[in-house]
Amino acid sequence: MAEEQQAPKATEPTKKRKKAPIVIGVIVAVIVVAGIGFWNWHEQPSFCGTVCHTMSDHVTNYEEGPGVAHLHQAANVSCLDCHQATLDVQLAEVRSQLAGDTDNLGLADRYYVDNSVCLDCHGGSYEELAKSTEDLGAYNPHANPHGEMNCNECHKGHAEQQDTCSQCHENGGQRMLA
Amino acid sequence: MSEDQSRLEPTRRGFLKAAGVAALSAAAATGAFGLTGCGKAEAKEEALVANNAGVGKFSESVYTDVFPFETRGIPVLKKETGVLRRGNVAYVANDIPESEIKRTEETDVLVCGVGLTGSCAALSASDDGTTRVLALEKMDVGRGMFEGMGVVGGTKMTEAGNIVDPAEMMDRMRAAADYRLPIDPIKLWADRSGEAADWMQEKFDEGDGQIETYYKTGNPTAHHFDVPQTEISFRSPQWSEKTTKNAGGGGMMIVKDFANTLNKRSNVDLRFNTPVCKLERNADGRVTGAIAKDADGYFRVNAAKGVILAMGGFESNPAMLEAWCRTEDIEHCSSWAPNSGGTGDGELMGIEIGAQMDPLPAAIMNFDFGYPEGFYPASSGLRPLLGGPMINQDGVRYAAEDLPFQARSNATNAQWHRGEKCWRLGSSTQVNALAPEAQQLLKDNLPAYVEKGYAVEADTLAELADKMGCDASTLEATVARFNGFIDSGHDDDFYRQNLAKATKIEGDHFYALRNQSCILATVSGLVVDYYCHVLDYDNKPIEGLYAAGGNSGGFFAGEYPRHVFGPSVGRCVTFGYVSGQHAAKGE
Repeated sequence: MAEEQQAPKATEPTKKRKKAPIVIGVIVAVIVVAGIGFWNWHEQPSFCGTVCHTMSDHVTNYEEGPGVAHLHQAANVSCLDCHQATLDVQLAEVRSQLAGDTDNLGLADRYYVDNSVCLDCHGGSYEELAKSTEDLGAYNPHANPHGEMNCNECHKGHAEQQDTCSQCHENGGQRMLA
Repeated sequence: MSEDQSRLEPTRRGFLKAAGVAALSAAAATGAFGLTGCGKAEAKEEALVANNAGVGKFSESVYTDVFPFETRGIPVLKKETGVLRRGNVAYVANDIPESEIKRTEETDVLVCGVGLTGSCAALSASDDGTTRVLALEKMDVGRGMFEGMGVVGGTKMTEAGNIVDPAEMMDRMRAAADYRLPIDPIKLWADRSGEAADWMQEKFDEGDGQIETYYKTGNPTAHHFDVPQTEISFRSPQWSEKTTKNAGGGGMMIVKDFANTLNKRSNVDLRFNTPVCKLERNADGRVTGAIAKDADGYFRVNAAKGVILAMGGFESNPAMLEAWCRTEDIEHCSSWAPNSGGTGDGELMGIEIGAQMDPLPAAIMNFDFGYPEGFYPASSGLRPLLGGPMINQDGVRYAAEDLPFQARSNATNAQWHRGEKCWRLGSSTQVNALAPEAQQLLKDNLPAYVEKGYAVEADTLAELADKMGCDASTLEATVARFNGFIDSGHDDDFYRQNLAKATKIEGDHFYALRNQSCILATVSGLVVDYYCHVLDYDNKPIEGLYAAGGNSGGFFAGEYPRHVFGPSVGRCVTFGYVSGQHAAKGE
């Protein structure tokens, strides 16, 4: 947008050229400052909960609740660190908002946390993660014979933890905490 | 628009809806949003399969748009499913631009999905030693959760003297679907499942798992659901007691053994972490192959003889469950089967190129013994309380407890709020009958369930009723009546047949456990003929396309008939075997 404003000014008579950089500079500075302010706000959990939509209890249980989200809060990890919002996804969401298609925002899909996001901080890869829980022995849930599972199959971000293993078999007495 | 279209516009309908604001978004993309840096500018390396790229809840119109004809909506209550298990979707709804297709591979038969069905299809297609088979699985290993296989005839049944009339079984299966079925799929199972079981034993003999099929009599189904015995079981000296005892544990080992055998065959190329995303059909109507994806990006597979869809159902795709199933089937239920691969990829890919899908709503495999977070774990020690009378939100008994799983689930979902608050009752009578360690396990684990509201306990029925939120005198009358049926030997209300196994709700302590439906799988799919060719909506085979197992259809309607022994796995193995045979011959 800044560039579009700059273009017509550049074709104006030379007399005004001296002032133009100042005006543009001020405009850019204001936008940058506002942008930084917006960016900082945008990084806060309160932004997600107030600007576009109700987040139901996702923000409240980030502060305290049954999911692992509140553990991430304690580690200073904010919403968008995990719910990685690429520009195209955010624009698609804005479009749904503008189109009035608010029943179909699909936040759960658009901001779904894939294993790769968890593994960025927890181990780096599924294999490495498995090594970090090797002491669980034959019942290491991260090296199970079923294959790689979605992390959030058991580790729910905003809901009760799921003890998936023991739904079918003994798991060496492990229980989901958090 | 064009470059971003695949990510921004996941569906055609979504595209039309969004057109009005597209200009604004485009401006935002180059302007303000970019300046403020909202969003991560550097895109992460894209996952091979993902929840937010292909099909997702935000683009749920794909589940109606995908059909090649005008659809209508029946006004049903719109509710979210209780299923939390989400697999990663492989199907890509958008056109994949040629520029993104990095390479082309040639094969004879392409097998999409390598669980039990895909393993069987790939083995069968490669049995001749010369047919080139490319088998692609989106997950890191093929999944498999099963214990037995429903068959009619075959060596093991014959040796055991368990002779079942194929015509009778065909009729039992058709009756279980209220005859809402074409002829071929059931007939194929009734005619050739015995042969398929024998073939499966040959594959076990070829493998390293020392797996053996054998006949084991199942618990006869009570009530008026009695059927002939049709289940073949599996065993191996290599399996631990835990594998054998665990629900579905043997299935996992079978899929593993088949993968091992496939890897030993020189004419088979088996790859994991490689989703098949889209079918390709030429102007003559023949399916020529598919677009798949691996770490290097999209690639085209040309399959000279045929493509076999073996990608299962859509039990791990909550948005699709909401779109295609009865609300009461999917609302107050949880998921039970850690396979995660069933996200409807095969159904959607087939329908997109003209394949005939079973009529919706789709049939599901449902058990009860569920609570809002899952299936009551054996490790909770609570299962001894799950055999008690089935009580609804008003404290009234609502069904015979000896009904098969699907009937109990359906009856539960027919109660208030589609089964939101149904219970099983227990008492000190049942608990005291347990071994001391079992009693201790129950006592140790119950408090966690009580805390979450999934269980209540009390010293009197009146107090229990209060905690359940129902009328005390109603619950007391219900229990007295139920206990009376045990004395008289006749269930005046629901005609329970095995009252001799029931114990009274009496003693000095009482329990109520929330009891709801669990979804194990969806069992509707693409309608096939006697040779596993996928049919179009004119019942004409789509040349070059086969479907098998949970990806195929024309086999179940309404619900999975849990009272019949093993038809789901029977279909997986039989149709995998038959589709592989025919695809290898290109006929």
